[in-house]
Amino acid sequence: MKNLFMIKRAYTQAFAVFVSILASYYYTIEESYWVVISTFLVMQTTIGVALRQSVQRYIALVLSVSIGTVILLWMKEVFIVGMIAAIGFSVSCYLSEKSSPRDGIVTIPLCVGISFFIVMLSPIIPHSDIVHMRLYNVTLGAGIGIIINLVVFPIHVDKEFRNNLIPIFHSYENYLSEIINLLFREEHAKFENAKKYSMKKLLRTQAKFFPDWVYEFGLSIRFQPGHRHFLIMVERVGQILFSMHHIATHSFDSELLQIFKEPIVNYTENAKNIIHAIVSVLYLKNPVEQLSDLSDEVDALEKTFQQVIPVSLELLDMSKDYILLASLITDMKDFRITLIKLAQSLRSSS
Amino acid sequence: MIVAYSFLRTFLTATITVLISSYFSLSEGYWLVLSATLLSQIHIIDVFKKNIYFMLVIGFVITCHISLSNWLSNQIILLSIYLFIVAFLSSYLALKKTAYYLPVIFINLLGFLSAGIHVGYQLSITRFENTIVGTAVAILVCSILWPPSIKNTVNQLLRNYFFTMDQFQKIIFLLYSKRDYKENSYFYEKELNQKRFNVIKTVQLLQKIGSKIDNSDKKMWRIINHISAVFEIMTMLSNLRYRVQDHSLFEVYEKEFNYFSNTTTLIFREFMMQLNSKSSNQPIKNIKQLTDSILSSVHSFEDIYRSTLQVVTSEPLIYLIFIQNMKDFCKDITLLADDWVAE
Repeated sequence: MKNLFMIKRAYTQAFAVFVSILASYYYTIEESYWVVISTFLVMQTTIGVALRQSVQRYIALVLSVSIGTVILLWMKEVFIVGMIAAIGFSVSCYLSEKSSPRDGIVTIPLCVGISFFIVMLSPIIPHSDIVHMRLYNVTLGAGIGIIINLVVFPIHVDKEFRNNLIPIFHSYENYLSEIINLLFREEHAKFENAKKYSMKKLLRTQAKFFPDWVYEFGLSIRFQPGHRHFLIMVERVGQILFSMHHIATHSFDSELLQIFKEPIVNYTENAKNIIHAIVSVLYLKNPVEQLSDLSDEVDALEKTFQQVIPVSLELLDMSKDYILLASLITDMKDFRITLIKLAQSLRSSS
Repeated sequence: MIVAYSFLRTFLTATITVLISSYFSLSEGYWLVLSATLLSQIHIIDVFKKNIYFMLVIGFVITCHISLSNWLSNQIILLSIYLFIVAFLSSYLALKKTAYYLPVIFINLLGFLSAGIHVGYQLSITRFENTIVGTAVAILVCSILWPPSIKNTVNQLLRNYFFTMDQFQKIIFLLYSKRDYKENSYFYEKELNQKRFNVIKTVQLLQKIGSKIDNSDKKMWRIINHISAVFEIMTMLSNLRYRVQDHSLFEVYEKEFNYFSNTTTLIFREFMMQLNSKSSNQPIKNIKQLTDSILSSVHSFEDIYRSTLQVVTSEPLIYLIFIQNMKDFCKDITLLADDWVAE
């Protein structure tokens, strides 16, 4: 799914480059490269905010090209022009990095910096009509880029959001199983490798698929509240699993842990069923089974905890095993609440 | 600091190449400036040798691409097809691995520029040579400015880890002082998520190294385990933000939160100074003192919990878990420091 999305995006950009090269050949007189550069830069947008970001980049290009060209008309000394270009580009890169963008995005300062740099270093001797000519070329290129970005393989925000979340939920399900195996030291000889492997795989899946473009400023109002809230809950599931993983690495008293084995295993199986159901809805299918909302399983855990922990003990005097078990049960309660919220969000939106 | 270093690297590269270009009055001199300056921006990985290798490869690709674009510039259909293929493959690569995004942008832009400014055979050779010299200048400046003490791969990653962990813990404790967290949760979660992912990237790379370490290097393996544990505990410390419905209760702990966060910053800085110094086996004197001072603030937490929160809050257990996590953090930092200097 992700591969198909990448192929479509790559094709869209390449097609825009192809069209802009032909357009620059037939419809421009000088400095035709500005058409293609403009097309390419305005297409560097994130999912969900394509039009807004394209227009922003177009305006940035217009400003930088105009200002750069005016400076060139006024300043003739090559060395000074070069130094202005160097300072301008360095400052724009500094501003771009300071805003801490995600990987894979051309920020507006960088867009301004690159175009300003190219303008200042251009070998074409500036003449009086050059500002209009460059602006015409930039506008032509931006128009091609914006239209093709919106028309050719248009991105469906909702669909991409769901496609990005499905592998994350699958990895959560596997990770939960690994954590419970680790807790009870199942397949004892392999547990060290399992600990390394499962954490690594989860981190890789999260980094690759996590749709944090939903947080971008300018995302459609239609998607903002629902999708952002959903993503916060998805991310919270991952954090709860990290927390449970850490607890599972502790060496508990084996007799104490055996008391909790049955309720924890029941809880885990039903939690995995809820994750399955969420994935089914993301695939736009109806979940088949009648599911538990984990309230009985959590009650069973709490009852077992109360039976095991001496009632008279002040909380601060609890042993580490008890505190960690309490922490694990709290994590499981949080996990339940978060899964229920996710399932309810999907139900209300379908 | 890292951002300032990036600015310096770019500015120095651009200045040197502008000076060379104007002093020698190079024809096609702007290619020297363009290629060097754009390449200097490339920072794919926080590992010195690998980054230099990438810069070399990208410099070579840029040189070939601009030569080919210039050569095809008179054949519009062939040029369109060639640039279509390059744009398609490079965009796909950039989407697959976002670290390659910036180099892909630069390669494509320089290709468009070269195709748009057609020159004859002689000047195309000059363009080719200038681009190679530009690549060399960018690599030279990068090598000079890269701190020598952290050219070691693991040291660089550890340094990055402590830096990103510090940013992560700062945002966590900042959230506890924000009374409008519930209303603006997405804004704060976005920041937290970004900082968390920065740590995750470094932890991933370190775990990758750890999986390749042989059994004899137990010290490094223990260090990597400890830093993974510290990250997990810090994630657990952030859980309080969604467990507590009324964030105004955190006012009671505001002084302790600030103290914990500031002292943690000092601890991470101590580790970073260790990495910057010539010998990274010097005893870490201050870590023990700093963790002791955090523990004393944890005792202060416990006192407030006993006197106030245990009565006021409906779920006292979540504060107890938070206190235990803070103690575990101190314990793991101490173990990390001990293993750091162990033989």
